[in-house]
Amino acid sequence: MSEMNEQQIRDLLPAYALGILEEQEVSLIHSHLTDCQQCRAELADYQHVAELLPLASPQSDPDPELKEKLMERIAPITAREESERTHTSKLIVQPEAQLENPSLGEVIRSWLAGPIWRPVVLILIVVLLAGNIFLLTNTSEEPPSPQDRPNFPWRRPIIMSGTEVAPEAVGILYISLDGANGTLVVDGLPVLETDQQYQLWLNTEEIRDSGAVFSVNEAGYRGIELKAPLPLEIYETFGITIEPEGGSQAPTGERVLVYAGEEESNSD
Amino acid sequence: MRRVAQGDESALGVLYDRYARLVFSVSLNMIGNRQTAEEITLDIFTRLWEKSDTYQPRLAKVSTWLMSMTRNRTIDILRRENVRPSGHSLTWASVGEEAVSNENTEEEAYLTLEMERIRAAVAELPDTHQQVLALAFFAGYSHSEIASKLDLPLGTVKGRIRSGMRKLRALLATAPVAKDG
Repeated sequence: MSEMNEQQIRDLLPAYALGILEEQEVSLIHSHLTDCQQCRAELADYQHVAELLPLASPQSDPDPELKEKLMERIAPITAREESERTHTSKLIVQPEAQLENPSLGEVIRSWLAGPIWRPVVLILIVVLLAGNIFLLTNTSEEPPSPQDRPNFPWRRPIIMSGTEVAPEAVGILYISLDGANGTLVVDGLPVLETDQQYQLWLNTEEIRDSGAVFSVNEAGYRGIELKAPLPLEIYETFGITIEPEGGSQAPTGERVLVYAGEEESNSD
Repeated sequence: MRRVAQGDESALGVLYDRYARLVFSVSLNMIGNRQTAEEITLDIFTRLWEKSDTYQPRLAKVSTWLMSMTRNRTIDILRRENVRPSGHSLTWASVGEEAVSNENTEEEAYLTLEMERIRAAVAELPDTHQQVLALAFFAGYSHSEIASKLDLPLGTVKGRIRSGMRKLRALLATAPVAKDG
């Protein structure tokens, strides 16, 4: 199966909404949806139908004791989260009897003594600042005027880790709170051959979309705005691979950066 | 959901009272085993508790979010364990069968209306279309798996799913109307 015409794509939209298509068919539909607003609208209708289908199940009541089991199950989760909040507040708020007028170095050391993500975040902030300073001093473009600059709040950034292919690389995804906009910043990626580019993949259990195709500068750095056929916040995992120039319909090359999801990240 | 995200266990209890029956019913219809369906229900609400800060009301109602998680989780189990419940048949609820047990909130009233609409719409489909849609949606079978299971041509299965969904799309095209009185 190589290509489909528009009618063939539309015929598959109901099955796509049910999540029962083969991977090849899904990939072809994704490519088409990027450019076809009519098909995206039609797909939204079928997805609405699929959302309602569970309501047509015959109804049954679970065991009355199930609720109690749920509350018992979440109790350790709640206790762990409260413990982490208490630990964090102890690191930040120093009792007066033990520490008076802490120096900047002592504050930084106490902050770094916390969970492992803290030094990682600090390093990334430094890398980003350095990258932005480099861009500002080297770009010849006029910065956008205040009225043109997007002004929307950001979610917690998604931090991508380098693989064996590019262990020094770092990637950060910023997605706006409303999920409509996103930016990828990468640093430390190897400069590729002229017939190759990097490609960002946006994934759920059922979907794989292309978010960007890009090259990096001499320092291995790039900041790029994301474009996706679906709201960015629905995607759960992300990866960047090496692809032929212009990108591919599905990943074909080595993976250089990956974010495998919150569960895998939290299991570290 | 805001209160759940803030760690309010009583708020989780409220959501459980409101949606557990729905989650359990969908899972039971798909997997055919009460114990497994109850485990899935526990998993879903535990995940809701852990991921409540990622919920975006702009994207979907809580019920939609829960149904999506339930279906995906149950299909994962069906595929991972490579089982299809023996002797278990996937069914659609009858028109007139009791929907939600109470309508204390706006969303519960909305759910009741939507349940009635979707059940009436499914009931208008030919039995053959209901059958393939049930296998596709509740069992997660692909076109070819359905064709193999029912000993039908692949094209027939694709056509029935396509026409069934198109008819449902047409029947559900208008938003639910509030009850009188």
